[in-house]
Amino acid sequence: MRILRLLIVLCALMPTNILAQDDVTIQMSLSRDGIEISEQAVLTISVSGGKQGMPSPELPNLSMFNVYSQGTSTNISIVNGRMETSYSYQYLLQPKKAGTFAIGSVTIDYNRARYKSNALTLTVIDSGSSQPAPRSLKEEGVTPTGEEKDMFLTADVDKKTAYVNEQITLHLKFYHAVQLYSQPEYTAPQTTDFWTDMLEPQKTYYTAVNGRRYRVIEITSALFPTRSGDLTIGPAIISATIPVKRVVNRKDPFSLFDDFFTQGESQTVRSRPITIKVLPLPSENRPATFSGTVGNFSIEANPDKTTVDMNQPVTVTYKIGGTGNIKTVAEPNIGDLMDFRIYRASTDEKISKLNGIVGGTKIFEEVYIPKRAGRLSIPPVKLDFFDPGTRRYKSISSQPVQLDVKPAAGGEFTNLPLTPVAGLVVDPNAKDIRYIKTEPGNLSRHQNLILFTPLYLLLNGLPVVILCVIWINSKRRERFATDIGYARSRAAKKLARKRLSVANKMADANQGAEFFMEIRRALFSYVADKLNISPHGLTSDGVLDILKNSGLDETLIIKAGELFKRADFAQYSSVSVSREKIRDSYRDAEELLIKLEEAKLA
Amino acid sequence: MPNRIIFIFIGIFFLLFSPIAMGINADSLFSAANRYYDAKDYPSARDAYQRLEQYNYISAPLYFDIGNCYFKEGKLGYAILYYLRAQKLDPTDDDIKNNLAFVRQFLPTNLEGVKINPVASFLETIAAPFTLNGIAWISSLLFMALVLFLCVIIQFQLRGALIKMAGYALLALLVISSSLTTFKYRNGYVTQKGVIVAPEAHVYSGPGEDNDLEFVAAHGLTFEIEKSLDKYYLVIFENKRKGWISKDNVEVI
Repeated sequence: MRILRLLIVLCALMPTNILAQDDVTIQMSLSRDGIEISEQAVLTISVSGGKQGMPSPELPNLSMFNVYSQGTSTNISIVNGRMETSYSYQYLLQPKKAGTFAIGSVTIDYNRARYKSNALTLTVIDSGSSQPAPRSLKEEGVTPTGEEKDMFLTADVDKKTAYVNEQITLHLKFYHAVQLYSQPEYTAPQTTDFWTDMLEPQKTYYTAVNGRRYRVIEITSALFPTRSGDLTIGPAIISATIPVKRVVNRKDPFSLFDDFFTQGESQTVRSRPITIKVLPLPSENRPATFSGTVGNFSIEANPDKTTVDMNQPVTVTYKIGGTGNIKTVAEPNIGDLMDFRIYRASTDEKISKLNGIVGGTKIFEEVYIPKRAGRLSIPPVKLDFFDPGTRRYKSISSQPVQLDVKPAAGGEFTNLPLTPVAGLVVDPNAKDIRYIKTEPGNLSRHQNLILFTPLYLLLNGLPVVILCVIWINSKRRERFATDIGYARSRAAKKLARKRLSVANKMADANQGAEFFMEIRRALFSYVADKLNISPHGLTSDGVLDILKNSGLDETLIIKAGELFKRADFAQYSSVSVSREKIRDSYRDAEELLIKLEEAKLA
Repeated sequence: MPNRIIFIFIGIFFLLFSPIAMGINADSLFSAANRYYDAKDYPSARDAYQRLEQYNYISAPLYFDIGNCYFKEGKLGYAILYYLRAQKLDPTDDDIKNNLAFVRQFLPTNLEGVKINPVASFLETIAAPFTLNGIAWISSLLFMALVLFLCVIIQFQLRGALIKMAGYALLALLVISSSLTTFKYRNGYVTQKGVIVAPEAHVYSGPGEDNDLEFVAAHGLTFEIEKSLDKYYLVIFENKRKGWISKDNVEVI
């Protein structure tokens, strides 16, 4: 009995976690139940109730997938003094083939016990292995199970049938409706049998698909098939990290902050491959000199001079321009000419991409050296190309170049060894050159030319600016002296301000009648000066008429009328005007003057 | 990353081989070259002078001394090249003029049919004493003087025959100095000139040895370069005779 009591006491003293049975649960889930063969699913295994040092779960047979580990996260929590650890393992499943695959249970052997998870099923649909039927954007935006995609990638071409070397425009559009946690990693489609050129910088815009707003990044490229046959533009691939889809726990007030702490999951999307039927260039009516140029081109020849001495070079620039793959434009075949020696000087190429069409110019410079004098002609240069627009071969030629070649001019060289040259002045007593300079002089790293330096240009430019200012000022002075109307108009504002200042002083001295007289004088003389008329005959009504004609605001004219009435009242009645009214009148006069200045009375 | 490494290497290279890092002082190197010259070791003297040139140092005395070394070594084409380079930097130096004329006595080839352009010759004579920078400053000062003169006239309403004459005189001087500046700039910097430095140089009717041989020119002859094509220059000699000459046989002044 005593032993039993001791055992009970010992059991009571033992830590609860030793006594407690481990309550380990394993939950397995998939990000999506159904995917396409080009897509991926995320398998999440959540283990809760374990302790630190618990082994990793043993994965079931996943041989039908490529499996990539996405990492493990651990969460430790203490509830009622009991420490619990939960683990979350994530795996990326990339299907190898289509079908419905069972994902068996995950097992963990721990503390002499075996724990098992639930089992899952994943459906993989193959919709892109053969030539896919064109799908609408609405269809692209949803999974086979009808779920809206967070991101997807589409590829479109402007034509499915083209000739060798004819331009095909490829539009790759990456749609994403969720925020990207990482810069998308782009793998360009495989275009082995095409010459490719990016048409324009990537465009970004928003569009709605199935009522959901997507941000679209569009890449447009020009492809030129290099051989005939059924050629495939491979799938483009974009990988990006996007937020993990999870159910919002409305009861949890901190669920708002989940987005700040989540690391997201990596997703990869692919475009569908596109097969282009590339036709060979027709053999019918093909010119014998055709060298494979496809497009629509023009050619012109421009000599640097048309009159030249015999044996002196003339550079003829052949400019071939138009639309098409300018890189395939071959050098014009000039051949041998009896009257000229011909040298290739240079080749230049400029590619243009106007309105999504690749074109440009290719410039060939040929140096012709005439062998004889006379009127010589450089024959036209022919260019053959296939125009895919009309599906016909075309042959165009440059215009011939006519040269007026003059006989060679110049003196003769004779060998006169060791004879003095006429015109050279040498010290008659000199028997040797003069001795070296013993000082190195001003050794500098390079010769600084003062011309075109900013200092030189500034020093020469500054006096010109000063001259301009002085000239304008002088012209202004001259006009002041000769044009009375101009002088009055320019001085009007200053005079009016001066009078207003006098009026202000009178306002301070509470001399109402004098104040209004000065106000009236300031405004009347301003109008008179501006219009170069005498201020003496001006009446209030006359000034108001002038203001109306000058297009001044109606309310301002009413204000002016009231001001003039106030002035008449103050001047011709014995009743004194309040200080407040004087102040208001002063402000009105100032405002009127400003508005009149803006209205530019004429 | 590789670019950074390359830059570091280039930096180290320049630090190691720059004259300062190698403990070479330009003046001491020049003095050493002078001592070689005095000892009649002309190749060593030239080598020392040209080391300064390799470090991008230039000056009229340096070029003059290199010209002297070449003359003493019997390389007349190169001697003329360096005297002309020296003259470009200091057109007034009497020693350069004298040595250039002296060396030209020994040239094996003489040009016939040289027609002197009187205008160009006149401008050359007037511009000869000036460097391009010198004449450019004179033009600039005259321009400023004329503008300030006009400012004073306008501001103070000055009139009179004397004022007018002074204005015209300033304008005339400015036109002359500006013309000389333009001439000097075109002649010395826009137009590329060269010297034949190989003992003899074949002048062809086209850019290549497969063309007709027009004539054989000897070292020391100067020319203007009209065109450059691959390994050949189209050159025009003082007697207006043109031809294509291999770049290997010539040096640009």
